[in-house]
Amino acid sequence: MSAARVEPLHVAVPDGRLFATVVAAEGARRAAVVVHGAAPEMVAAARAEAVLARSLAARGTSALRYHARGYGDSTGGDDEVTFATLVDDAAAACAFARRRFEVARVAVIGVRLGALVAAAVTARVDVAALALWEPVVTGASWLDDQFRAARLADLTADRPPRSTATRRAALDGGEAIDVNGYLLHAAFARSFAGVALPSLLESWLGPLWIAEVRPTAAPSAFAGLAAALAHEGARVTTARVDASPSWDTLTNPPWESLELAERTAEWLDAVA
Amino acid sequence: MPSPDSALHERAIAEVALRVAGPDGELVGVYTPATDGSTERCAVLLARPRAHRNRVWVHLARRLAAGDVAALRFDYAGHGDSEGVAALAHPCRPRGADVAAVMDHARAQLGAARFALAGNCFDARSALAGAALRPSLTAGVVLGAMPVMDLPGMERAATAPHDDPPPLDAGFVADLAAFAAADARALFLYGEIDAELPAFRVAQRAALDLLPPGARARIEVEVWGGRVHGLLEVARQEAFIRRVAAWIRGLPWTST
Repeated sequence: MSAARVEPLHVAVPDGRLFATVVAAEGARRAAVVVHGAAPEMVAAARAEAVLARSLAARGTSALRYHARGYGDSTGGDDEVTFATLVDDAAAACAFARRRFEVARVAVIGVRLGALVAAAVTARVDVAALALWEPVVTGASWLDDQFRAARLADLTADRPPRSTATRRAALDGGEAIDVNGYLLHAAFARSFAGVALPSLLESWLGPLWIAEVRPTAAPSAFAGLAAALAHEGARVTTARVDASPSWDTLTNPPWESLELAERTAEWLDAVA
Repeated sequence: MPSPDSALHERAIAEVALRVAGPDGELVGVYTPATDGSTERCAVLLARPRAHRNRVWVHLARRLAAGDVAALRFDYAGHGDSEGVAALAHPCRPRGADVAAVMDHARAQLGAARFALAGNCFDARSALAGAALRPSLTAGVVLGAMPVMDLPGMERAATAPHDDPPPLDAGFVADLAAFAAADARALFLYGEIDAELPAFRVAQRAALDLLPPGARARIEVEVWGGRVHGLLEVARQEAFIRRVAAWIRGLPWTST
């Protein structure tokens, strides 16, 4: 890891503040903003994202990471979070990064569910390049994963399992559901239900990099998506990083991938 | 967790991001000032990363601060935002030196005088190690699901006969002795199905019960139904935050 210094700070937003860290690269003319994933993904990938920020700075790209409202050290409660608030906060973080690093445009890196947020922010902010780590392709598929995770948690905790239908009905009725110690709120779920990466990227023609972060033996999940986006005129490339992150579980030691960080930084170096 | 009420929102807005020079690199943390502006009482909250599951430690920090106990949470070296190389958090290699560095910083820069230290699992062990390094500064430690021996020992503790228990970690025994020699209080908190509990039962028989009466009187042990380790359910998180906040606020903060 480079010797670049991490500076923690707060970014003012309407009704609150975002906690953020910046790593300024000396003489940098480029900057990147990292958009974290959903609550468990954010915690599980925290170290990997910190390593990314340092790798970016080592290659001349200043980096800003932030916690959206309702997450981490920022203000707000998780019951206030929706897709719209996440996109607002990403846009605010990008605007702050432009001012702070004195650059005209920023690159945006979205992690898991944060990929949907990062893709949406391209419609709000002048984005120089977009990199996505193991992106969630649709909000609906992510929600399905949450129901599966909740059912698995029932089984491992030796509780009588609640069916997915029961949980879906509860969520539809406005109840918040406990998924592995995180509350999935009805408003959050509703706000993501119709969100899909291909439609968010319909008008994005800038450079796009999709990193598949999974063991080499696992089948590719993004080849079809990349081909479809390329067909629409996107400048998309994909990369495979052999790693086994657990996106929603804390690990000991914390998961990180220097290869993923450095390949992300190299790609930005080449295109931004 | 639901939206914070106005007092907690105020504490969130008042928070200060900070950096602390640690033995293995610069540590990144957040300080939550107490509502009444007092700085002497400070809770140092330990987790990996510092907010941990569902922001339990953020909620606890803000609740403590709203009750006039300042709070400081940070990432150990090699974790979260802090410098350093990521390494396995081994139950017998706690990061007491990081904790002590943060306590020293809070004393020198933030006006803290006495500390409560709290953590779960490895972080509880680091809290005890930090208390052992700064015994005269420590008012109390909350030790949730704390391991007291290595993992093979913990596995053995679940089945070993009483007359042939696995050995306690020597570092734990030394840190407990340092705790006993000072005047701090301790809350040991386990879940009845925590894997750490059988080993703690060994520690009770082999170490805690042998402490001088004055030291034993400063120790509270609670075993809750289910699991404390990991705080895997939101209802358990809320109960934990309520209990720990109340216990820390109720500490006798003045050194005797």
